[in-house]
Amino acid sequence: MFKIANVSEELASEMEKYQAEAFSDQTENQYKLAIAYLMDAAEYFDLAGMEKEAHITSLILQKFAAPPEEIITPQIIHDVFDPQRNYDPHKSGPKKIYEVDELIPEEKIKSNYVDPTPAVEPTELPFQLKEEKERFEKPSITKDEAYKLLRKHERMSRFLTGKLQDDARNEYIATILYLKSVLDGRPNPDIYIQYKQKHAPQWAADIIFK
Amino acid sequence: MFKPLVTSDDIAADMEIELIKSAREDEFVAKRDAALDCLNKAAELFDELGFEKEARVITVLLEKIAG
Repeated sequence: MFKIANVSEELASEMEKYQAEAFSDQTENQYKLAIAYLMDAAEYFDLAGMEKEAHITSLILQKFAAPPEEIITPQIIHDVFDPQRNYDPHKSGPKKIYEVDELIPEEKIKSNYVDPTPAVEPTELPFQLKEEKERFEKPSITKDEAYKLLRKHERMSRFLTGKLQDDARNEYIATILYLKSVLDGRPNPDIYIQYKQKHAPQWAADIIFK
Repeated sequence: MFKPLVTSDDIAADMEIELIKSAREDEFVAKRDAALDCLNKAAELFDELGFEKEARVITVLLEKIAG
């Protein structure tokens, strides 16, 4: 069984510390929060008895502390879950208690771009789209914002496949189609409405997720 | 003398086993969902900060688990 730090207490104390600093260094704080979430995930997987998932999550954590060029590759994740490889999480990998600060390479944070734009909530577009169609024909969203939102929606849609009711997933997929039209330079709110009316046909999902 | 094949004690024992099994399944689902939620939040944060490789790796993991 993998032993991972008591994350909930650690996370709470880290959060208090961050609040006291009034987010003077937002990038570092956000990065630490993301790391804390990962540690929580590993802990929960461990408690659920999902050893492979706990192992790969702690492996990801360990690699994140390494220089960027040593970051874990998606292939490692595929290998862990490949049934033909009979991957045994007990034979390799870290069995270490982590501290959040151990996993925060300072040079890594400094080298990354700090996004000055506020995060856009994924659910904003569909609701606005219903009532303000004209606005979406001439969106004020920048291409950079649209790209970021698109990535969020793509990730959520893949993740939620088969886990959400169709309507909820359709919202994501419809927004993806709209955002793609924005990025193509031809914003088309109709594509959202048409897609909704067809109740998430498979052909659309195939196009989005090919 | 009539001897029932299944006694009330047997039924009670079976029900207890089923209840324990159901509770364990619920607990597993809750823990797994909490873990997935944490992974997703981490990916969102990495993405917003511009740590694209990190966000991508977590996304691949989420897809593997979801698939």
